[in-house]
Amino acid sequence: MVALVETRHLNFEYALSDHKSLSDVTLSVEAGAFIVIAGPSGSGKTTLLRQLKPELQPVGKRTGEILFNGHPINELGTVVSAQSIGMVFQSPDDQLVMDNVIQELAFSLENVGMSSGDIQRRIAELASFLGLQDLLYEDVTNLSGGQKQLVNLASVLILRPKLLLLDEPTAQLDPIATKSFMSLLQRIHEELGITIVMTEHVLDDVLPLADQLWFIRAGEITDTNTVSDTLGHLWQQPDARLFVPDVPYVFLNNQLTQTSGLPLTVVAGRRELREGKAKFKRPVIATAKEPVRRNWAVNLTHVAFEYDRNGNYVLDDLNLKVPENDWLAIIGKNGTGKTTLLKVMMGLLTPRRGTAKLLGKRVNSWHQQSLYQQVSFLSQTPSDYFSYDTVMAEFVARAEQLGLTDPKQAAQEMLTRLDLVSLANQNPHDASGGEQQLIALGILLLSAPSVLLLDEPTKGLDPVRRQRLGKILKRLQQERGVTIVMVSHDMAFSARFADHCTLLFDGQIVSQAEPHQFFAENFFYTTATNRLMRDLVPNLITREEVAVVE
Amino acid sequence: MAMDANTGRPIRHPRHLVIEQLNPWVLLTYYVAVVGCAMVFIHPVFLGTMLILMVGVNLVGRSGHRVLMTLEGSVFMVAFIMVLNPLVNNRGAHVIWTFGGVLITVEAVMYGLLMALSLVIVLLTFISYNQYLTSQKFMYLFSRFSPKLTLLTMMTLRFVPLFIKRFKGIIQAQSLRGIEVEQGGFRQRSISLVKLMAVLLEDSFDRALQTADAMSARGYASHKRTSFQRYRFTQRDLVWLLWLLLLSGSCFFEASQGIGRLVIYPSLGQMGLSVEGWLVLLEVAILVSFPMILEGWEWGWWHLLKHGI
Amino acid sequence: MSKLKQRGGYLISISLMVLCLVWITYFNGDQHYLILSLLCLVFSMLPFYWHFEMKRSEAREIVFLAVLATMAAMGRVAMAAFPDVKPTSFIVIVTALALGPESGFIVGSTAAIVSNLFLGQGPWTPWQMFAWGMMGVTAGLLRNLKWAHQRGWLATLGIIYGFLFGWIMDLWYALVYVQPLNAKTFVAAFAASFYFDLVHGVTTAVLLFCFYKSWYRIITRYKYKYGLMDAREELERSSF
Repeated sequence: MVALVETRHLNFEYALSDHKSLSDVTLSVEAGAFIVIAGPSGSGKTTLLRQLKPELQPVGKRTGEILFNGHPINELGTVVSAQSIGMVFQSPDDQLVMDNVIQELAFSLENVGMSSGDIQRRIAELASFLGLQDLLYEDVTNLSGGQKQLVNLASVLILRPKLLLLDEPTAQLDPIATKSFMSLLQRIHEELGITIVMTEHVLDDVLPLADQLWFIRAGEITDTNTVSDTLGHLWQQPDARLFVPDVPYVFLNNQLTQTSGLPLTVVAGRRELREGKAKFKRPVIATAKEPVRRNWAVNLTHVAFEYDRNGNYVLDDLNLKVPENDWLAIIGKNGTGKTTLLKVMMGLLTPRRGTAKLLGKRVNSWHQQSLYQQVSFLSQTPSDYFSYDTVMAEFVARAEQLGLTDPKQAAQEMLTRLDLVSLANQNPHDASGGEQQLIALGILLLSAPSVLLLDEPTKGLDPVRRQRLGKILKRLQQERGVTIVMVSHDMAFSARFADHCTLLFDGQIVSQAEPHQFFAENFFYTTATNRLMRDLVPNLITREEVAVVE
Repeated sequence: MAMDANTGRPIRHPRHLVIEQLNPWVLLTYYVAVVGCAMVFIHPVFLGTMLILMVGVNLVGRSGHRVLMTLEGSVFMVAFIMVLNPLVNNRGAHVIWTFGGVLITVEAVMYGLLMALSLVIVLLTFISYNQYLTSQKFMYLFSRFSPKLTLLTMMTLRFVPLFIKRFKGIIQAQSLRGIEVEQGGFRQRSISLVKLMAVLLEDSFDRALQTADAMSARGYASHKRTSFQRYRFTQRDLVWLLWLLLLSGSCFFEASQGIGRLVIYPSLGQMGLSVEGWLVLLEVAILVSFPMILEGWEWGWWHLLKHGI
Repeated sequence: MSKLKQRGGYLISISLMVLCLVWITYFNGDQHYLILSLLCLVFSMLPFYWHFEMKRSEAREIVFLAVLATMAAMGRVAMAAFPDVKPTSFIVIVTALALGPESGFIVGSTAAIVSNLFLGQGPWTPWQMFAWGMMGVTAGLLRNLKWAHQRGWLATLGIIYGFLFGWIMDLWYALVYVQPLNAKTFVAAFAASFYFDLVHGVTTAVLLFCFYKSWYRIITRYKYKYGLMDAREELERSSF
């Protein structure tokens, strides 16, 4: 069987770089395969994917061979390459070129010189296949993130590619949008037989669809096996273990018996559990002693908010109290007003009715800059906070502005605390997404705030960085008494690190409880571990907690 | 082509007019013809009629408010033209007033007035143009000649509201880290705004790299681009286009024969119109009322249909 | 053949110009100021558009220019609340000094069209396209001179551009609606817009004085990051 794509002893080194980004990569993708490539950020996943698309090969020194259908890939004509290899990227917004959906679809075909009649036919056909008819004349700005990513995928598919490359396509989407994107990929793979190679670091939803899981580390491909073999191998390596999704993690961690291979989905896992008949421990839930009278870090009473005068209340008679030194996770799907809630809390938006208090004082009676020193808000776009050319300069400037006695010293300490020393002299815009998050956090932490408001802090982070961020925040909470209020759709992260969780729905806080209690009561909105285990032990919520009774 | 800067969407109108359904080429022909007429028929009766009709066209499009705004905004220019003409021009037979060697003549005053009127009509025409010839239609007209430039313009058009939104986010984020733009005097604030625009520039360059990659991945620059034409040219469009071309062709021909053009220099001519003049005026009036005729037709159709059933 | 295609813009422009001259000399073309002036606009801008349209450029280049044009257009659209501060000219000049005349022209004229798509097109649109486009071209021609990158000179340049821009914008209605056209007409028109031009010039000067360096650095940095124009070859030469 001839491979669709093959690389032989591929080495790559970026221009002006001192190390190899890919070293001796030999691999082969068979026609019709669905391959997932995982690995930490900066391990060369994207670099590898780009080598397979001649238009996007980065500038640098390349040795070895890349073959497409048995011929060197760089000898494909530009039009052939555009048509037979498609690529979808991470950000739903930045891939859009035109102003409405039909123009966006036409754009690809216009590029390869197709006539108006042919364009029309292909659009008609694809729109029916993907169910896009109702969106065709919609402005792209009116679409949700999930819809945008669907349009991006559609405008690649319309060229009828043989090979589809996807670079972390769901990193910016919420769980619901992620699931519908994945089921679309499954259809494309199964019904159209398109070969898919995809990089991803949150593997829960994609592994059940994949034939193979490859792992890459520091530019070297370490695994090119079937999903369960690779997972088994990753399990052996402590630092790669975090990449294993919840369901297989529980099985590998407890050495549970598997009759039909390593389960990847909740349904397969439950079947195995029923057959295995293992008994599990109840989790030890630390109930913190509630002091008689606590001060509220955040106190919202009867808050209502609307953006226009149309009576659509995003927040409606909302009450929320967060005690000092608590870590509260507000969960809910995109578009329910989670970010709005944080902004109202911070005083960036003025509530229509009701009062918002921070640290016992009404938000609008605070002096703005002293409020911003006491309470920090980190938005989803950390790069908005940057103003200087190097990370060090950012920190020093903020320290000077705060009138700290030794700005340099303070900046240096912050770099060390957040593990950013290696980036000190880099331009913050050149840092990766996760690092940018930490840099912005560092700028805000210099004023030693007592409350931190975080908007989707784990978005786009790989499991390793996710855990590191969680630990840094936990330490801040424990050592400095910081109160953390976080908005997130990452349930596993919330279950693991938060002290309390709550659900925002229809403009109101629906429940506010300790995570075990919170997730045990939810049916849909809960962690994969909980869904797997709930019939046996209802309040097991994180995969680390699952333990067999000896 | 009025757009809302916050949403980047064309400002929506409550109902669809017939003229909005026509092919952009028909629209363009109409506006070119009207602007042409306003510049060619320099005669008080002609200009007066066109002014009234153009106000009518704008009222049908429910942009009366914009008409007032535009008139208010162009007062300075209109006054300037009316005053400057007699001041710099001593030609003409009938002198009203002299001072310090400057002759003010009836002819020059008349010329200034007519020119100001003509300018106002052109401005009113552009209000209607901005309303019906939306940015998408404009791009469609454009893309025939210059696909690459159209693409650039289209992207820029889409970026503007996006950038404004991001810019608001940046202003907010920066104030959270202690960099304020809301403080200080007016100039001070403006300067700090421009300073923050540099942050926006870097951020946008970063994101736009992905846009560029997505474009190359989809074959941009791999072949000579074609242009997908969204607006079909129907039989109705053809009929109206021919109608407009015939009408305006005949108007311009008559104008070149001197009909409907007031003789101003060297001496103010007859204001009165010949029979031929009245016919040409009728032609011009029908030409300018084009959107109103379409609307009337539509109204009549529904009206009759309703009663017919 | 490809050379002909590349230079086609010039050919058309020159032949248009000759036709105009013939028209003026033999058929009293100079009576029709408007048509003549619009023709002038067309044949001064055509070669740039032609060249841009015909040359092969990568997606990165288009996007890069689109970002700059957006910043410039936004300067007019978003700053409506600050009538005095319109950073458009500043951005056009910096772009031209960093990237050269063609990019300056494209960014300037695109910013004019796009901002008018928001603010409303009018008979002034082609004149603004011309004015900002030419601002880009002329500033771009200065970029190899050392003094053109010094703040003091730049500020002077800003004031000069403020007035030149205003004068071009005065032309469009003076040309058409005032008769006869003589020095007096122009002086009156220029005097009437003096205050606006001065404010425009001073703003541009202040912005150039304060922010030229940082903007120039950002644009240049991304020129290399994107591997635009000559940047790619330079990089390849230096790394091997």
